[in-house]
Amino acid sequence: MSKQLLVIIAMGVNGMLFPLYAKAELKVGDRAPDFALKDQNGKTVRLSDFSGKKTIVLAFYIRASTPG
Amino acid sequence: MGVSIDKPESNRAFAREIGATFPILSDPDKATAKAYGVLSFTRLFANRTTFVIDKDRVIQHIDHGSDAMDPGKSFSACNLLEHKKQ
Repeated sequence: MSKQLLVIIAMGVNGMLFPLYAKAELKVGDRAPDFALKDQNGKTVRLSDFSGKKTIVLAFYIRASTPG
Repeated sequence: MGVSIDKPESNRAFAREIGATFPILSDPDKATAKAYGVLSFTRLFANRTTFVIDKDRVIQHIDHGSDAMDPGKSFSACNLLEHKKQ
């Protein structure tokens, strides 16, 4: 079984279980936790770099190159 | 910005594939996914979730799961924030 197929199955199982355990740990009005992560070019990006400058849309996605 | 638990090399290929001109961030140790409460039940990846964060780093809008596939609500939230600013 290919690795990609396993990821897709895991995503499906997770999707079925998600409503059972989902809890909103962060909610509207909360302060967004800072982070320092590398982008696709290896440059470190911090959320705090944008404080006072820009509105940020932060989109978590499941895996690169998958339907998720 | 996009975030996943993929390594920067995988995200580089993904960014090229989708023609992304914005940062695609790597969270391989899943610490950011955990801090944002989006780590999956299986702990294998982050659940699809979109946060709109204002200039004061306050969360103004959240879309979960299939809602996060449609950027419409996040786009509206951004527009509202821009409108407020003026």
